[in-house]
Amino acid sequence: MAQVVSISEQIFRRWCEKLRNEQKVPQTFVEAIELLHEQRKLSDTEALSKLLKQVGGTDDDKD
Amino acid sequence: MIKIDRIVVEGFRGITRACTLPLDGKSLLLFGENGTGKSSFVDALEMLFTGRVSTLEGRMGVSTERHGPNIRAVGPTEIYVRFSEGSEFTLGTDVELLPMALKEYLIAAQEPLYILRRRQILDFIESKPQERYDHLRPFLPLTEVEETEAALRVVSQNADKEVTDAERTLNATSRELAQAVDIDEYKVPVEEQQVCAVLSMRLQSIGIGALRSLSNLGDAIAALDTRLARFGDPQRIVALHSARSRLEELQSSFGDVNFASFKSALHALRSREATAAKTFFEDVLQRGLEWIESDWQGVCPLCETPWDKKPRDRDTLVARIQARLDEMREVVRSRQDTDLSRRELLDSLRKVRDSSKSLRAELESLGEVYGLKLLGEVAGSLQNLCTFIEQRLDQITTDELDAAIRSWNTASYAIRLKELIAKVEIATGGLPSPQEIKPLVELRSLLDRIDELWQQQEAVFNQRNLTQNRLEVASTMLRLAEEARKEELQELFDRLSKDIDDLYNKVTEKDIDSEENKNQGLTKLRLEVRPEVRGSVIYQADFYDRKDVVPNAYGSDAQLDMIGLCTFLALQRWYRKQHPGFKLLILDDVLTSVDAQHAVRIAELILKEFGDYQIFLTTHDRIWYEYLRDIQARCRVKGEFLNKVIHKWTLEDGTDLREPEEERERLDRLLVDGEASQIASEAGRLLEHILQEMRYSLRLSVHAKRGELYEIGEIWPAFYSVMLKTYPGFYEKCGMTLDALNIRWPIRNWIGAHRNIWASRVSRDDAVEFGRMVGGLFDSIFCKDCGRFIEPSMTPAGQLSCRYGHLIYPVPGKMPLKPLSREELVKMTQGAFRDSQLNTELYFEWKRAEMGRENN
Repeated sequence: MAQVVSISEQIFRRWCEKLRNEQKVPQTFVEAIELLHEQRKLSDTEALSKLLKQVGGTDDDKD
Repeated sequence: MIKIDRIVVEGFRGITRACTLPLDGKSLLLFGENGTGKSSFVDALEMLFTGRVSTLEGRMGVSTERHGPNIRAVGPTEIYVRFSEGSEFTLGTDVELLPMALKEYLIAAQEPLYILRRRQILDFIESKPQERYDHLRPFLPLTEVEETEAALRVVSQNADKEVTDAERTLNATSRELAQAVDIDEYKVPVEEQQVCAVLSMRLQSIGIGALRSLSNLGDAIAALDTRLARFGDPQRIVALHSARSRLEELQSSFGDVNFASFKSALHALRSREATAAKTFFEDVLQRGLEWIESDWQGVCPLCETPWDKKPRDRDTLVARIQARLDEMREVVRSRQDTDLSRRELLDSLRKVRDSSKSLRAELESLGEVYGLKLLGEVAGSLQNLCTFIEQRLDQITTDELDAAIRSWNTASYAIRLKELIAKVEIATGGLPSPQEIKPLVELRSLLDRIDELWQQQEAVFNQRNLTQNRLEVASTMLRLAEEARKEELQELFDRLSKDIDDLYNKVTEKDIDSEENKNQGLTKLRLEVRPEVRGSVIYQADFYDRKDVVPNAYGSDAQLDMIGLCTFLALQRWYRKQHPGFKLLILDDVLTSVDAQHAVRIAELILKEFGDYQIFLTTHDRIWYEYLRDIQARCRVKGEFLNKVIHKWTLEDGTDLREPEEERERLDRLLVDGEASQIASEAGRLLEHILQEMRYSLRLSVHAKRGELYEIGEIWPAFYSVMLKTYPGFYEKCGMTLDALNIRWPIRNWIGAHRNIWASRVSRDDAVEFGRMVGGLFDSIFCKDCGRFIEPSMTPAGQLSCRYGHLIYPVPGKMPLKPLSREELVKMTQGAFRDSQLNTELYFEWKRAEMGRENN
């Protein structure tokens, strides 16, 4: 029997596709997001914030 | 495939005593009048599988916990299910201990998506878009997606806050820079050219070239430093000038120290205190005075010595006390004045002391040794004075104060201070004036400040841009996530809409591809996600030539019921793909307002579409129940259904699910060894059951009764009369039994239902005879092969038979005629019966023709 792809998985795939086609979002982000999805951490605000801090270099880098 | 083999419910909702549904993996068709406990079985399964009854939740004052248990139940609620693979499941069973396949079944059963009640259909159709999304929500496992969106929303909000903070900091820094440069109108961030223009003017005024860029600020500072270098240390020069003017200020501040006021106040106070030394305590005087004035008793208030009671003596005493009190109050006022003078003196002393100290420190930092001793002495002497005067006022004597004042040798200090000022004048004599050097020093300091603020503004500006970038990325991620969800859901809804439309067309037998049916009635039913609103779904359709209408604006109740049911079935199709191992479908009285024609199609559709499911159907409509039994045969699922009738419900006993065959067998046993009352009771119960069934099949006219709980006496006369007049074929064969029962049926009431003393003469033989007659009647009208009671044949009129013609009572003089199949009936009635719909016009036309033929 073919594997049933859940609606949430389909939504995630579509989201990644959209992110890949969006110039405003760094491409490394998409990979990081896929990784977070694998780790079931996409609902983790802290993990997402940490990822976002990498836009334009981390604050730590600047320090 | 896991199916339910047996359900036992006791003490829950309308079910009082234990009721069993022996399903053996079959589907269930359950008929019962309103309020007889059909839905109680549905509620019980929901309770067992989900832990709650959804219809008892979310309504004011109603809850599963309080309103689940039966009101007459003596013990706790029991809900038991045995599955086809042998496992048992009851309230409180630990799911973890069950086999894996069953565990998966129960996990899928935890959300009651497989149960549809009529109220849900209407709720779904008539709900607002956001509520409708909530109805669909359990079918869509979107928790993970929604949590991600929620997290992205938080991240986006945080990024937005960071931008706001960064902008606030940038505004503050730019304002500070503009103020430092002294410009009123500026943009944020302050532009480099504007700053350069202002600084250039200042630099050019002292002969230094214009500043083209702030990156050249270092050059300007270097040029200014060169200019200042010829003055030596400009800071020191300015400090020396400052020290000189402050020494002069100190000199003049000596005159501000005024001992005289405090000294005279203290002297006056001490003198007044000396005269008032004998003054009694003020409080004692005051209270004594009040006592004498109000309660004069002729005795002293302190020693109780009797005095002359003449008023003259009392007045003298009062006047004396008043005078002493005044004196006392004068002392208090004097003390307050003295304290005020002391504070003023202390303020002036501390000011001179602090000024001396700071001047000494300043000279010391400049490396000037002269004056340090003098300023130290002044500060020390003033400190001693302060310490002395800061004592409690009653501890300062006038002599000590005079001595302290003498120790402060103002004249000597003033002379020495004058000499010190002269020395500083000489030291600053060869130096440029402050007016000459100050603008250069200030400009130098300004350039440093601008350099610092400019760099700060650059850093803050970059930070603001960075946060704006992050906000843009976060907002884009959230927007795309929402778009992805809405698009994916819309695609799912498009598929669902196609299914709903397809099911609806099948039920209404509409061929949308044909030109004739195109745009007829409600068409193109569809669910749509509202792009502008989160968690919102609208239901739309076309109605004739009107596009995009809400179905409930034009649909009848029956159409809306069908749309709701088709939506539920379409969702079930989709849900089946998600949970292929879970095959249970429960439809609780959902076709109330649908006409028979559509109801039959829906039923056929369900039985075909979900043929491999265990389906529970309940209905309160007897005709619909009979239809469904017929449909089972047509859909070849007859052997896969357990058809049950709830023929009675009482408050004390609850739902009665017993089959008439069971009652017949029990009667037979009692006829052998039962007591008269037992026989009469059981025979009465069976007769009641028979009459209830015949009421439906013969359409007996009886007075309507609440709860449809008819007693024998209320149905029997109509039954007997109809059998006698309308069905002579039956009367010919069973007339003796009918006539005998017409006389004997009250025996049930006399001894079977009540204990009447006057009925004690009714013998066991009488009861046995009554029982045999009821048994005989049952055998005559119940077909064991069909498992059904006889009913009037569609044709010929006056014939009674079972559904399949195993048991027939023909019209006297006519041949028995097997009941016709649907196809035969349609053919014979020339289309009056088309499918399950009766065209009465055609039917009566055909009937008249047939009667005409018979008469001829």
